[in-house]
Amino acid sequence: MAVSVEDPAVSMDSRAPRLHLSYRHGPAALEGTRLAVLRFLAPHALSARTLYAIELVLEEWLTNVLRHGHDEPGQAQVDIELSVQPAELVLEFQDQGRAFRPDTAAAPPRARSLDEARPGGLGLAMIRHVASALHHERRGDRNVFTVTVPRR
Amino acid sequence: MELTTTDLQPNLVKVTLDGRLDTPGVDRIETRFNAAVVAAGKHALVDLSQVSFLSSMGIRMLISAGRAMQQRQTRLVLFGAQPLVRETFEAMAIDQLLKVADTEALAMAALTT
Repeated sequence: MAVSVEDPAVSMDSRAPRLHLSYRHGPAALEGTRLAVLRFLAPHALSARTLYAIELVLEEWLTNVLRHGHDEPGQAQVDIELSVQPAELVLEFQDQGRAFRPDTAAAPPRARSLDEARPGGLGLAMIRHVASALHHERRGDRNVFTVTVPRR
Repeated sequence: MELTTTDLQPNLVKVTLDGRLDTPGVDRIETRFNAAVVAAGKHALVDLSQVSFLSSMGIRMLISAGRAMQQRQTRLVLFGAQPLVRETFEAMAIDQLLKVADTEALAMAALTT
């Protein structure tokens, strides 16, 4: 199915509404993706906290794919599936980038002073903070990363 | 993302950020932010009350500026963060690295402590 940030596929199953985006990922696509997700979520009366968590996961994971997943910037084909369930939202990301295990990646050591602080590396820690579960698998040549965000 | 600067004292500038401190937002303002708080060689208060979202890219920008200012012996104090942004500071222990105050008056007081 050809779906894009501008024209996402939306499932009409009212028990578990589902959004599917598939597109060539690049810096310019971040904002379009965020807005497509917010448009899809608008009717679901989510709290500001839950929406913030979803935006955080999108931003951190897609930035990660962009910066680390591919040798050729802008060549990442990304699929995103978002389903809205009664108690949680589930985001599944697929990309054909380098194999990466975010669920077992070590958290960066916590700096105790600005001298020790190394800017960066916080993205996964921020995803872990808002998620109730993370799962990663390598399926063929694709990374499949699933993040569960509780409705709060 | 918008950035405005106000000189409060000869050696103190206030920088007001308005919008989302995410990847596109940081791309838009980082050079001007560093010019305002680091290159100017003054102490800086950063008003975050209009910042609706903070990602790791935003945190990286603030930490980098804080480190560069420390090397120049100038001070950076953040203030007015909205609750969800403030929660991110606390969860990632950024408030242990940078001074974070509730109000501009408390930020001003924090400059001298």
